Amino acid sequence: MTQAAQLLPGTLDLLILKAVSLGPQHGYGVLLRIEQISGAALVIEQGALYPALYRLEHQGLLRSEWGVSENNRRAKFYELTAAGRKRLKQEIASWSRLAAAMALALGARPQEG
Amino acid sequence: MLARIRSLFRVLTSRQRFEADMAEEMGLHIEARVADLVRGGTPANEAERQARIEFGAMEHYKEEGRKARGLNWVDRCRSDLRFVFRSLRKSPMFTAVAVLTFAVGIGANTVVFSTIDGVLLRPLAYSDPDRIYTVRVYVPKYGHIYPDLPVNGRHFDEWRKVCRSCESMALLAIAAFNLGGAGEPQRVEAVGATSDLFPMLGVRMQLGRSFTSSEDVPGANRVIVISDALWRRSFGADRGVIGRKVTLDQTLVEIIGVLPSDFRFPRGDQIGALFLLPDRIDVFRPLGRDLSKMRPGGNFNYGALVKLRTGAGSEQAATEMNRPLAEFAKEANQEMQVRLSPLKARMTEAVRRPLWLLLGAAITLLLIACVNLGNLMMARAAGRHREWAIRSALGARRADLFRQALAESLTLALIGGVLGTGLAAAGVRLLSRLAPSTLPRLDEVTLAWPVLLFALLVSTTAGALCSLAPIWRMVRADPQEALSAGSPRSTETRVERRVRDALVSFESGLSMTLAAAAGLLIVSFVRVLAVDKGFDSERVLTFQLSLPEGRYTVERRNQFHTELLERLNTTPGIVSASLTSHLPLQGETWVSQLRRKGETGDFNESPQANYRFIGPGYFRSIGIPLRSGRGFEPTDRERKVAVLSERAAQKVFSNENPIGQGIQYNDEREPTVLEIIGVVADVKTSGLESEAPLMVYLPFWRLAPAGVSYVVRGVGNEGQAVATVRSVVSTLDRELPIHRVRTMAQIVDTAVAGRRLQTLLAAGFAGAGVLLACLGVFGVVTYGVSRRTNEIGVRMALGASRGEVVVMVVRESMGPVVIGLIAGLAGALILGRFLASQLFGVGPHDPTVLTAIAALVCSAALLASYWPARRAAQIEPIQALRWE
Repeated sequence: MTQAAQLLPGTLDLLILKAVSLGPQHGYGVLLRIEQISGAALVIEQGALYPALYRLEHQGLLRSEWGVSENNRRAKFYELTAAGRKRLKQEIASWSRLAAAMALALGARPQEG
Repeated sequence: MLARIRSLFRVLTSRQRFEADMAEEMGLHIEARVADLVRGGTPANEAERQARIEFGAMEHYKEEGRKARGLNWVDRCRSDLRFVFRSLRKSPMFTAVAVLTFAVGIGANTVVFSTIDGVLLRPLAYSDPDRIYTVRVYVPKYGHIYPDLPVNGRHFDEWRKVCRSCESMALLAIAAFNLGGAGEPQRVEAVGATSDLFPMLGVRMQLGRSFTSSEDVPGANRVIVISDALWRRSFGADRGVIGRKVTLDQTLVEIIGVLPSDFRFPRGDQIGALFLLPDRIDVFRPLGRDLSKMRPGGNFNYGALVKLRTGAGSEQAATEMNRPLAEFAKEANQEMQVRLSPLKARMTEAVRRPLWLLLGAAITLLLIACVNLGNLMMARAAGRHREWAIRSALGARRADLFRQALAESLTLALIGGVLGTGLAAAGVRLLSRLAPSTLPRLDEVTLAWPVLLFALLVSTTAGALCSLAPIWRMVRADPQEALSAGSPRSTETRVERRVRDALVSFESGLSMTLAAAAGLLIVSFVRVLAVDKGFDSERVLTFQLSLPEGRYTVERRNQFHTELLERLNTTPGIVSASLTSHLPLQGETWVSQLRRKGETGDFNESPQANYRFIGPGYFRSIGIPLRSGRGFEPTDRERKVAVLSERAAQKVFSNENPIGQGIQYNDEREPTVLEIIGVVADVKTSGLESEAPLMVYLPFWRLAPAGVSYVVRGVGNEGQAVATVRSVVSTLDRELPIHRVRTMAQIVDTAVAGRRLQTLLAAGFAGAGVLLACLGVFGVVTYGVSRRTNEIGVRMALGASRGEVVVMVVRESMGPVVIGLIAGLAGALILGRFLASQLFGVGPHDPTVLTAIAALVCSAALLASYWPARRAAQIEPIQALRWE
């Protein structure tokens, strides 16, 4: 069993944006895609997804529309807005900077002297 | 930003759709998850469960979702309100008691505060009312009966010249006329005034104009200003009334103005003794007298108002006015001083203390109500301990619980406030119907905005304070403990118990104090009613007649009265009819010295007596018991005779038999000697509560007064009697109106109306206070017993009898009550001195009354604790022990 990691605060939004950027998705689909792209390494409480989706929609980063799912059920689909795409790009950039910095910091060894 | 607003707007317009969407979306999620799990091999029933566990607390996420959409407070308020109403509906008893408690406390306060606002606080409806003062004269010689007197016209004339601090001054004289030329002949109350009056008060006529100084001279005062009431009553509100000619006692006068409908003038004795402004003044007329030619001695017959210059002090004005007065005083050889008092303070002087006392009572009631609510809320909070524990375990945040507790209190307070305001509106209306005409400015009492704000403020503050109780309770709540302990078994903590006992002590103490005050007032009222009035008020009708001086000379007046008495006394159904210059209970007037024939020395040192001019049969008609001798007979016409009251006879003749002896009274020309032919009982004159004055009765024909009161005994019903009397009068003079038709019972009623109202209000407040306190005791005991069900069960299982349980519960609950009663009794003793001036025939510390009231309050509390105690004793031990 893979060791599951707790989500850092603030990272859920980023994951959702990323998941949705790959193509319009309904809520459950977003969940599955996050599990898929993270290799099931990230565990989120499923219900927490929805407040985050609403928040992002409220911020104008996502827009939603009722449509029909792959198995012919009614479902609400989310897709990125232009602002969402822009935000995703910024977030990825800053996350990468942070990750690189963290990796550097954590990878440091005591200097021999 | 735009997107946010749009989103918010969408939420607002389609909140319902958002809810439905959210529920559907989450439902679909669960469904999809279940389907996936089943596909993965999980059994269907297990899959459902697991999907829900994985999803987490759906309600919580819904709430988060709502929050994420913004505008959450709208939903929150809605859901809070819905929650509050649901939880209040579930406990209707609690809700009803709480709302009614609020309503009673707030209603009583609003009525009293409205009254105080209208009577004491609001400025008089004149321009610059604070600069308007009444002018009276203090004469030490009369100081023991009259604190001050009306003024002399000549003095006023001098003041007008010398007072530099005065902006303007007005002199007033009371008059009454038979008004002709406007429908049925009627008697109208009138005031003669100098032309400065209306400009000084800043009163603008609604029609026409007021009179000028050129109309205020002898012979030219043939113009009048009429009241709005008379204009509507007798002229059908005809706007063409200006310029119309009417007659006042046969004098032709022209109507030049109509006063506005909101014009008010002081009434009754509000300006001071011996200047009894009538209740409704219909006619104002220029005084039309040459004041400079008036006699400067005696004749204190006029009212006077003065408006001081801005910034001028009343003491300075009085000093300036005292200068000319000192000279007149020297001439007359009697000391005199000007007294200036602010008009509003003067008008409301007599009622100030009763009204503030009443406010004290109302505030006490509100305090009791608040304490009661606090207690109620605390009991409720303790009872819901478990509910809160469960809800917080389920994820409700503490802030949510606080908010709901606060919302509940505020909702109760607001409903109570609205209901209380309704009660107050009804109360104010009732008050204006019940209150005596002696309560000044009552028609100015309205439920005003400041009062409503006051009520709202009090109710919300009380609500917020009361919700502190549950909040305090919650802060200490530990879900774990509450759930595991199981509420029926957990008992109150010691601190809680103490707080609640203290609250019970506090409210029983306050209600005891209130009840003691009310008890003393009730006893006073009963004593006043039982006072020996000196006459018999049953089945006696009175009316006034005023013979116009133009048509009736002294001789014709005498003839008229004699003839009318004869006709009335021979009318079937009338037992006895007579007349008097002044009826009992109408105040002291026509006061002069009295002494024994032959006494010499300064007449001014002799005792003062009231003089009354009466017809034959007066004592029989009004029911004044004859002590010795006889009353007047028509055959006494040529003799100089008098009848004394018992006190007068005692004062002048000590224990000698006064019949046949002579007295002198101080006539301006020469002392007149009269022979005493009878002695009658003392009669209450200025009121039922003051001592009867010395009284000298003279036959009416000695004076032949133009205006008299007729007294008619023993005619069937009142309406019929009035018709009979009217027809008899009109056979003598078709033009003559009869007025002020009242029964003696009504006159007595008017005399006690003020006290009755005060007693009624005090008793009502105290009753409500005691009731609330009992509700408090009842609530506390009921709650305490329910928490101790288990303990009581154990006691009974171990052999305690039902009686023992009742005694135990009652004894424990009466502890704080008794402490409260003792404190309340102490409070009553301390506050007694504020009440002393309002009491009659009973001291503020009367032990019998206080003991009786304490016993009453105590037994009410006993009853309130006995009821739940008895219910507790009916518990079946086996059930109580099982009940967990």
